Amino acid sequence: MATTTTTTTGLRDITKMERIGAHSHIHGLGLTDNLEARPSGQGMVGQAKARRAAGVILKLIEEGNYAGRAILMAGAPGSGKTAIAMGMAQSLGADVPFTMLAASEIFSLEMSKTEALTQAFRRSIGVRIKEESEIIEGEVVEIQIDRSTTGLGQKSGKLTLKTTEMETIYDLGAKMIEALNKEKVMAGDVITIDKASGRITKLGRSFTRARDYDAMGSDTKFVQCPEGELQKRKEVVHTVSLHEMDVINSRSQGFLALFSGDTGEIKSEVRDQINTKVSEWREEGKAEIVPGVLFIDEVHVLDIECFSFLNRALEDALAPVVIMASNRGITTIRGTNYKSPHGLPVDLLERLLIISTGPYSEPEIKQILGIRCDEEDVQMTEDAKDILTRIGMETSLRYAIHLITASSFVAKKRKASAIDVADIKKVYSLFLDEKRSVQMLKEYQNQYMYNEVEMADREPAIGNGSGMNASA
Amino acid sequence: MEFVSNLQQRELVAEEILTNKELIIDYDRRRNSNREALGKLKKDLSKEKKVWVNMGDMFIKMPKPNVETMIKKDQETLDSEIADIRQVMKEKVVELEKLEGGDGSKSRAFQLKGMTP
Repeated sequence: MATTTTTTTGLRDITKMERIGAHSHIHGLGLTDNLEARPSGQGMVGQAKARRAAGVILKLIEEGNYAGRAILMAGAPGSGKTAIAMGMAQSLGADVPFTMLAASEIFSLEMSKTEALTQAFRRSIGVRIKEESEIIEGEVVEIQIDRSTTGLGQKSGKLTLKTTEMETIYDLGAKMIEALNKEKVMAGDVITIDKASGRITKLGRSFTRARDYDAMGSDTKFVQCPEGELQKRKEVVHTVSLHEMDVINSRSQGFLALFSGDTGEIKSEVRDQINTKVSEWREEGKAEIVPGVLFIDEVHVLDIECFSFLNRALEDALAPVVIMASNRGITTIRGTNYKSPHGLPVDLLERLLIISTGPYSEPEIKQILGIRCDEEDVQMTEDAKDILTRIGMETSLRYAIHLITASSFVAKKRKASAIDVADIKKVYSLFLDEKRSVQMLKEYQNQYMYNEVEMADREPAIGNGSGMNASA
Repeated sequence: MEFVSNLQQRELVAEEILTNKELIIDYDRRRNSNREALGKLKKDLSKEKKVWVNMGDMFIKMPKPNVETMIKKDQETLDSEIADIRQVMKEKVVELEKLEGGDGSKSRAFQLKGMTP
């Protein structure tokens, strides 16, 4: 059950706790209302063109007429592909399903590749349904229960309920009296009665009955006396994903499989049944399809079978918008000997709109590092930021971001409040970046194991084992 | 000028929604007093052949079955009337959302039919 919106409460005041991840600083795409990219906004910096393109696609998705298409984000590592995808997810809102998938996730022993992909597809399609119920909601003014003197025989009684507008008396039968006793309802409580089932729920005590008594439980909740009519109609709209419906209907243990995550393979008959049911509902006006977004990161990891499956799946009537990201240039398609741009077969490429991301400029890197410092709650001096920016330019943005956490730890050790140049220098010398690591390898490769290049001109019996001089 | 007319339109629709809300409350009040009356007729006045009814500002003595059918019919009209008003209100809410700059998608889902019959 992805989200619920109720007629009675407009706001959901649940704060979401998120772990500080690589992209946790991103809250949206940072676009203005007419889709111009702000230089910096909602955690996004630079990449104006790519962000605008993403914004255009978002608008299309929101209008709901962009299902079954695919987009490829191409760009060098660390140029913000995943960040843009995250930004899109954030600005789609809670009601549109967004599934994020790393392409390697589909290579699992428990599930076939196509099954994993199908599940991901169906996870990204929401079905909006409405539930309605008639309830009686009011503040209890008086409960009167008549018992016969012998204690035997039928009990009967009266319940007076009121809202701010009206007041009325309900006759009570034995069942209702029992339910009221069980809930320990007394005068001054605000209750709801479900008309269909007769279930009574206590919402709290009315404010008008609040007194400054000391002997009051801490969990006593005070609520306003309800407004309006006594007999209300409550309508709740849920968005459920097709996958959730599959899981609920596929096993005897039912929805519990949703929480254990152990869904296994779902039979195609179940899926067909769900599809027919959903389209039936749609025709009856009971349900609405919400095509969502499926994001496949590192899409070049998929193999040729997956690609041909994608080709077919995109043509399905119930297909989400698929966003893929790849950091490869012209390379072999996995599972074949053919080379192709981005490691994707050409027939799939033809269906894609390609958004490309370029490298960040120096001021942009500095800004991103600043945002990351805020996100990780770390203070840093200007000089240190400059140095870190230089490191980011020369090595990679990811490496520079990693150094923030490490150097903040070093700064804490020497009891400083902010990271200074010395801290950065220290962690820079402690942790190698990719280039220096390669340099190191070149200098000392003789001492590493399985070193094929140099093996040929080495003496075989030095002690590194004998079976490894396999190189020609 | 366009802004003002939009504002006017908004106020108009909002006003209609509020009036309907008030109307539902009035109808529900009558529905509840009708229900009370039906209960009374069945329980306390079960032996009577004729009962006093207040019609407008007059008390009239009428045969009980007649009174009962009258009230029941009134209940039915009230129920259908309330259902109608609720439907109209939903449409108005979508209209208001559009006037306020949204695309109506937030409240449109409430136009769906309920899953439970």
